[in-house]
Amino acid sequence: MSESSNKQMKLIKRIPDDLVECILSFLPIQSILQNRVLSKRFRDTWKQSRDLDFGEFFSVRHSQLEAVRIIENIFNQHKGPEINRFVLFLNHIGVEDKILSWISTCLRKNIKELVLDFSRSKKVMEIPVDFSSIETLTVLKLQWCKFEIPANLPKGLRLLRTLSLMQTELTKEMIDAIFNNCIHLESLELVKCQMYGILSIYAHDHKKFKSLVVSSMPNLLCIVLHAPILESYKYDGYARTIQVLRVNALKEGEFHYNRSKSKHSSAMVVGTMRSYTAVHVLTTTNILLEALTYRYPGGKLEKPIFKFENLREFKIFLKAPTFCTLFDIAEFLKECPKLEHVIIDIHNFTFGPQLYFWEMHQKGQIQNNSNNNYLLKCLTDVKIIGYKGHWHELDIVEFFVKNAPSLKRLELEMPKNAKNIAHTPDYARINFIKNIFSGIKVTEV
Amino acid sequence: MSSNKIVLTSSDGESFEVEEVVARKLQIVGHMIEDDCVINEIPLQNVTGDILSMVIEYCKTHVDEEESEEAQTKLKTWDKEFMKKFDLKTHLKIILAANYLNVKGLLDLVSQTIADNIKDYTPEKIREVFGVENDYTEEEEAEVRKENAWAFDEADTPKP
Repeated sequence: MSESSNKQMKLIKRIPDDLVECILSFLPIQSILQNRVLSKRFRDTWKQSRDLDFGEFFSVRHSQLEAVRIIENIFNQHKGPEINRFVLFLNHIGVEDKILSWISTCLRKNIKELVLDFSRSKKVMEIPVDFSSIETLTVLKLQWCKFEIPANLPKGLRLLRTLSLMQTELTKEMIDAIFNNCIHLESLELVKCQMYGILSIYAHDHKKFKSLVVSSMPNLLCIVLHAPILESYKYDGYARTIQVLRVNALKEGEFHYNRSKSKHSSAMVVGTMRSYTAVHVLTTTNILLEALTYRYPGGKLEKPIFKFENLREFKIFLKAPTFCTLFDIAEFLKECPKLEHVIIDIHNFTFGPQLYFWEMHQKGQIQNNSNNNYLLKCLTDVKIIGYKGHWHELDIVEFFVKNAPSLKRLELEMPKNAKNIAHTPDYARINFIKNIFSGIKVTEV
Repeated sequence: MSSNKIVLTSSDGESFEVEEVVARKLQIVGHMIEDDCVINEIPLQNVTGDILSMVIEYCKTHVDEEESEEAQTKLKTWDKEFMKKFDLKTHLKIILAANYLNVKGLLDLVSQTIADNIKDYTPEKIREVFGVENDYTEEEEAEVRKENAWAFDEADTPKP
């Protein structure tokens, strides 16, 4: 090797231009274009780009016309043999032909990740592309974009790891075809998809299927989910949708229940809960707590018996109308012996000015907690989002500082406009609480 | 496939005995074997022992490529973990080695990894990393910037 030039004596051997070009071709297009200024040698490297990301950040900063012109120009001059990723966030109306030609180019160049988001048009794009026949795809995300998959084993999508569908019409046959075909699926996300009746997923043979999101699908009557290695399940929707879950490996559960006009059954909500009591992280709404409260089923005051043995993190959203108070929260928390983090979100919720049931029946039990019934041994972090200084919020804060001996952080997040709706601070109580635990942090967002 | 052993020797004199199928993943070795200029020891002038051992680890793992889809997805995960073990300086050494030894899969993998790590760097910083010399005049550079003004605009606005 000749070492005549001093420049070659740098720390790292100088990387040959061809290799630098190869590395740059993996950068997102915007980043490559910025690097045209590196030197004359790399002025045209962007034509080799493998990562054509025109996502939200790109599109919100440009007019429709400008955005289309820039993307069209890049596709017209693209010379590289491969495009790994194409992300498009655009109003498709009027430029369907162009979009189609861009996607065809991607297909010729072995596209692996395709993300098409036409939510800006507020109209589903009826695209004449058969996504289910694309063999190279590992990631497919479609929003407001038509998706079809035939039942008779299409040849594509066999390497698919991530599938995300939003505002797509779905049928039972399509779900079956997805699971029959995409044997390596790791993550499935269904958001606002039109689907009626039963969503059933049998993923016994899917050794990678770890994450499922089902959100805002109001017409579902029932979800049947058999997924032995699923680790994360997030559901956002009506509590009345029946859920039959076989998810023994679940670690993270989100049951963001909403109320619908037709009533849900508390027994059903509790029944579903029985299948996820082993989770480590749980997010839910007051609807779960209401289902777990004391009732008079046969003339006797009773509540369901349960235990969340592994729960480390618990987040609860309170939504009106609800009868939930600190009592219901405390009754739940005492069944979670390993709990470390609690987040209570009352951002869009305010406790009533008077809580009769709390005053008459519950307050005594919580405040004269002589047997340490509510001891939260492992709890270190508490956060209340949407704190407004309401007297019952102070009850909650007081509860935690008294019952969590390992408490390290207690954060009260106040909404910016709280000054208008906030209650006159009860300084005497605040001082009393601060005397027990001085590390309370109040933040404004 | 024959189970011939081949000894690869690095520039600093470290030797690695590997199966012929593994050694063939280094196309430079593959060509030597085909050209019949191999007995059983191959000196590799441009790569040091520490880097060569990493390349060999990659080749051993990828020796049965083109197998089932399942094996392929498994390899992808392995690739990611493998790359995480090293810093940028080592990545640059690996890319030089992968290029010299001609291991296409590793070349793509390490290129992608480096790109992921430098994607938020300024052009000035990237010049420094790769030792690229700016041969634009000030006017020329300003002109190039102007041509793709949109790409720079966004970079200046902090991402939410």
